[in-house]
Parts: sequence; C-alpha cells; structure tokens
Amino acid sequence: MFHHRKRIGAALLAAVLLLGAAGCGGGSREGTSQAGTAESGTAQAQEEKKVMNLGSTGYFAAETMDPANGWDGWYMMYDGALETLFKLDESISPVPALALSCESADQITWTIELRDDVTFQNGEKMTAEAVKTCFERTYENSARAREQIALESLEAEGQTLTFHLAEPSVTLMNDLTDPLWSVYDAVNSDYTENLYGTGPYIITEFEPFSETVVRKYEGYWGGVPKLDEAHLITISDAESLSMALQNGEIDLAVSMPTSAVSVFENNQDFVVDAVTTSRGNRLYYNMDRPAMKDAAVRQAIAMCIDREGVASAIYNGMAEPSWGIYPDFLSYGGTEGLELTVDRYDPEGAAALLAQAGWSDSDGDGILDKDGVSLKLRAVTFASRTEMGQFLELLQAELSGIGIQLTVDVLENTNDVVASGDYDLDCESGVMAPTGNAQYFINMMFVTGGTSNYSHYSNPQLDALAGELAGTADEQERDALVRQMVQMVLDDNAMTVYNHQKMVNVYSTKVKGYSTHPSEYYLLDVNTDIER
Amino acid sequence: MTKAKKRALFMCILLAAFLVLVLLGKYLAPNDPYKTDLSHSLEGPSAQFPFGTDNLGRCILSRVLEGASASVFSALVVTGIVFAAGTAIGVAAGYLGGAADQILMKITMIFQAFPSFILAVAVAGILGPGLKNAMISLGVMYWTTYARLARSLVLRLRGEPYIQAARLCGAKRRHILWRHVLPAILPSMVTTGFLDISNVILSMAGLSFLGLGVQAPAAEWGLMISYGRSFLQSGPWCILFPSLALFVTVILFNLTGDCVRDALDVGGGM
Repeated sequence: MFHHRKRIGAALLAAVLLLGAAGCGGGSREGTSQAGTAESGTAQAQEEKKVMNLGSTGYFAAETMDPANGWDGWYMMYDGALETLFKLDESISPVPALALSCESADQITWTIELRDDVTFQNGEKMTAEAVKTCFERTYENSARAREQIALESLEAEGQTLTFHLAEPSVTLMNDLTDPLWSVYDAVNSDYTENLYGTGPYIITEFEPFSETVVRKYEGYWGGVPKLDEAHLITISDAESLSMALQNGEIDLAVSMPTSAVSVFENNQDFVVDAVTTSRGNRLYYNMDRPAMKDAAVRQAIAMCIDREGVASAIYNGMAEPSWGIYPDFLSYGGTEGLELTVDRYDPEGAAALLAQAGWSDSDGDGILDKDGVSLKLRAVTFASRTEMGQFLELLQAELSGIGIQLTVDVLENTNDVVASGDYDLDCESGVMAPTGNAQYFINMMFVTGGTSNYSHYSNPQLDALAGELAGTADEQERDALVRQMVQMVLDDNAMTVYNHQKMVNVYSTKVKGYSTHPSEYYLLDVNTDIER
Repeated sequence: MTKAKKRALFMCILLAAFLVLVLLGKYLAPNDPYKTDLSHSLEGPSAQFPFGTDNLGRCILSRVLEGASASVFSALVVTGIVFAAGTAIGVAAGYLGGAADQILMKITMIFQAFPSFILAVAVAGILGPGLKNAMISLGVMYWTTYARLARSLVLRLRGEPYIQAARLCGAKRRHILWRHVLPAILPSMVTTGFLDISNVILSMAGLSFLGLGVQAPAAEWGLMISYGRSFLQSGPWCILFPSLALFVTVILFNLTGDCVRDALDVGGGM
C-alpha cells in the first residue's frame, strides 16, 4: 500500500507542477503581448494569416508525393496542389480546366489546345511539351493509367497536345478528369521534397498518411487563393474527428462518418453538406476460394443483407440502399429493366437456397459443409470507414443464423490481404463512376484480371462486351451495353453493392466559398475561404 | 475475529456473490446478446433494453452480462496459472540456488526487460487475435512477478533456524518445501495474486480494445468499449455500461485484495 500511496502522491505532485507551469506560461505570454508594441507588426501579420485546418479519417492519406503512385494523385488534388486538363462540373460532365478545347475527327487522334497562362508552382510555363513529359511518366508508372487509356503516342507543339490512341475512345475527356492524369512538372519534381503542380496551393510539408501542409501559390492562373495556408490532417477515428470539429481544432471535416453526423445536424454553428455520389459500399466474393466458387453461397450471402436497415441504422440514412450496381442518377444506373436475382432481405430464402444447393451440416458442428468444404469464411475490411466493420459484424450475426461462420478482420488497410488472396469476403468502398464513365469501373472490377477485381471474377462474355463498349460512341448504345454487363454481374453475384453512400462534409459556418462536389475529386480551390 | 478479518470476510462474501452473478449472467440476460435487430438501432435505456441498444440493435445489458464471464473468468484463469507456475519457478530458483537459480532468474530478467503491456501486445500480435492467445500473452506478461517474489521470500526463509533445524533432522527437500516453505510464503503470494486479478482484467480488456483479444461479435467488455467509441455522443450508453461493469469489477477485486492483505497481515515482501 505504501508503494501505491507514494505513486499517487507523485502523480498528484506532477499534476500540480504541470498546472503551475501552464499558469506561468499563460502569464508570460500575456506579458509579451502587452509590452510588445515593437513586435506588433509581425504579430498582426500573423493574425491576418488565414489558415484553415481540414480533417478526415481517410481522405488525406497520400503515401508519396507522386501523382502516379496508387491513388496519391487523388489525395493531392484534394490538397489543391494538382489540376487536370478537364474537370467535372456539378453534373459529372467534363469541362475544360487546364485545356481550352478538345477535338477529334476519328476518335483515335485527339487534339487538345492548352491554356497559355498556366505556370507550374516553380514558375515554369505549362507547355504541351511539359504535359507530354508528365503524361508519359504517369503512363509508364501506373498500371491504372494503362488500363484507362490505350495510348499509342503523344505529340506536342506549342500549346497543342495531340493524343494518338491505339483504339477509338469516346471517353478521353472523361478519363482525363481522373486525378491520375494530373499535370505536374515531371522534369523538376522529385516527389519526395517537392512536387510542382499547377493548382492554387503548393505542398510545403508532407508526412505520409498523416498530414499535408499547403501554402498559397501566388502565381496561380485562376486568381489569388484566399487562404494563406491549409493543413490537411488525418485523424484516426470518427469520434476524434467529430470532437476536433466541435472544439475548433479543425474547420472542416471531410467525409464525416455517419455515426457522428447527428451531433451536427441541429447545430447552427455547423453546415452538414451531404451530396449523393456514386460511392458504392460493396462486398467482393473471392472466387478463388472453394466455398465462394459456388454461386448459391454468394447469392445466399447477398440475400442476408438487410439493405434498407443497414442504410438507416448503420449509415444513419446517409446512404441509398442498392439492389443493382450503379446509382439511380446515372443514365445507366438504377435497377429498372434489370432482372434481380436478389431483390429483398430474405434469410429464410437464403437458408433454403443453400439446402437446395446441397449444403448441410454433416459433421454436426453447426456450420454447413459440402464435399469437405466448410462454410467458415473470412471477411476483411479496413478501419477508416467504421461503418464497414459494423456492417460485417451485422452480416456475421445474420450468416450465423443460416449456418455460415464468418470471421471478421478489420485491418489498417486491405492492400496486403488483397494481394495475398487470403480472404473470402472483402468489404470495400469506392466511387464507381468518378469520371462519369462506366467503363472505368467495369475495367477495374469485372473484366478478367482487372486491377481491382478482388472477386477474381472472370466472364468471357462480359470481357467481350467491355471491349465493345470501348469502341461504342452512341450514348444510348453505351448505356445498353453497361446494363447488359450489370445484369451479368448480378446474375453471377460477382459483387454486391449494398448501398450508395452520400458524401457528408461538415464544416464550421466560418468556412466560405465551399460546397461539397458530387465527384469526390475536389476540395480546396481558389475560392475556399475562412472568416476568423 | 479481528476487525480486519471481519472486513475481509465480508468482502470475500460480496465478491463470491458477484462471481455467482457473473457465472449466472448468461441466464439472467433479458435478450439474446447476439441478436441484431436494426429496427431497435441505438435506443436509449428502456424497459425492454435496460441498458439501451447499440447501432445493430443488440441489447447492451445482455451483452454486458454475457461478456462478464469472458472478461472475469479468463482473468481468474490467467492469474491462477501464472500464480502456480511463477511460484513454482521462484521457489525452485530460491531453494535450489546455484546454477538453477542463475538460469531461472536470467530468464525472468529477460522477460522483465520489456515494458510489460508492450510485451503482451507483441505476443498477442504474433500469435494472432483470440481469447486463448490473449490469455497466453497475459500469462507471459505476469508470471515474472510471482517468480521473483517467491524467490526472494524463499531466500529469506532458507536461513531461518526452523528450516535449518528441519534439514538437520534429516527432512527431505520435498517435505521442507511443502510443509515449511510453502505455507510461510503463501499469504504474501495470495495477496499479490488477489491484487493482480484486477490488473489482469484490465489488461485483458485492453487487448480486446486494441483488437488483439476476444474477437467480434463476442460480447467482451473491452471490445464493447472499443465499439461504443463511435457512439460516444449519439449513444453514450454503448460505452458507459461496459465501462461501468469493468470499473465495478476492478474496484471490487482491489478492495477485497486490500482487505485480505490486512487480514493476513502481510507486511514485508510487498
């Protein structure tokens, strides 16, 4: 006991000392500000310096300062550091940004006229030659870029950039809105210390996965940025993010987890800005695994998802339940005209389906099995979107009711496990039509060997249709092709998109000139401002 | 009976009653602790759900009761095992002396060289999550206390006249250990064990909180607290009640441990 008392005493003493020190600190600071007339000039300058703090659990998680690495270009577009030749407007249609015009006679050769008044953040002029060098580098380093655009060669002359494609494409303008095709100075950037984009803000400090600091770029072609500095901070969990916003540590929270939204909904000091995007929360079925090869198992799992309930209880109403693949607002989206293999929450039906397919509990362990394969499945997801872990926990309870044992692993990120293939179910979240172009998602997710085809799905018919889509210009024909492919994916239950989540940004009313963009591509821009 | 002994007896009875409650918790639960019901998502305390529900509509009271056995009994088992193993190693080292003592104590020192909870996290991380592995990692973390304490107590006893007298009388080593050494060191050891239980409970909850212990959807207090963090403001009951259960349990074990120590009058060696 003596020991313990001593320890408590020490702790108390430490606390008192700390308080004392804090008191002294406050006092001395007051002293300098009163006496510091000589320093008032700098103090004032500091006061006037407009700094905005932005927080998120997963949107500022760039790994490197290299736009060609993974999704880092996307993150840095958020920082306001990068721009693309074309950008998406509010209705997800491409409009010129760094480009002035875009023309093509045969859909193979595309001539793009670039703006003449754009400089990189090191003062170098953005010429067609510079953009060519940049794109060639990105194309060489990124598999996703090669998947997106079948590039044969680029030609630069003055401010005219010409794309020579290997096959006709009608979606080049859409594709070029992807932050992967950001324009940066590929000659002078070293991607560790500096990156020279063309955006209104230049990255001055960069800590992988945790914090990026940007400063305004005075020579920005679109006017003078309103903020002097912005800090984009990764905050580890939803609760801390919500509290950081409440106590003023951050001014804007990007993608507020839905569980925290209710705290701000009736608060006058904050704006809850929710827009429908094409973000799909989805479940992949790894078809390399014996149990998941069985279409009945995949369908049964899909039938055990109470999509309405999930949207209201786990997503707090900030998501639209989905029974198809693409959201309603896209011309090829919704479920109209599709034959749904799963169209309601039906656990009894799922149990019957499994029984019919020959699954039974032959060894009496309470878990269904067939031909030596037991329905003991492993589901993985990542931690930054808390709803997905909760969704898997719900699914786990639902599936245990029909004799499927699900182990849920919520990981820091799923990159390693997805690469190793050691999973049956993978719960992921992502924007499905960020450029408005359906091809993007289909090529990544459903085409055999696609870079994000985590279901390891392979359907030669779909592959053929995807090829056809790339060469089809007519909008209606394109939509029809997409619907055909969506039908195949639904028939095979290759993936379940259980809802389309809204993008919810919450910010203090001090934040001006900002509104959430439905594409999830843009955040800081030249107009973003804060009133102190 | 002295006042201290009366108090210890009272606390022991109270603790016993609590343990019975923990044991029967499963049967007292008003609802199925694993049943999800999205129509009752995140409801505050009510007659049907006295502690409210989490966002999947699971009854918090039922989960707290269900989780009691995982949280409390696993800690009791861990403490029991490290108590026995640590004491045996310590007594062996202390009584045998020489090379055996050197080797055993060097091993103990190696284990103690790491910050204890970090060691447990590392072991649990390597073994993979799960209740069994969490218990192993806590065992690895806690046994050294008992080994060192038992050794130091035995070393002091070895020189005592009555032990030497027993030895002179030709008593066998086993006899001396069982009859003379063990009874003499037991009060100190038991008190340490009692006071350690609450630490083990907290460490167990800590491991689960970090995702290294009991895995979802199992109802375990640490895990429930971790889960409830998301609803700190929108549904504070999710985190409040499991924390309260943990708090009460730890306090109860600590107070009982204190009273037992006073009653057994263990002064030195602590």
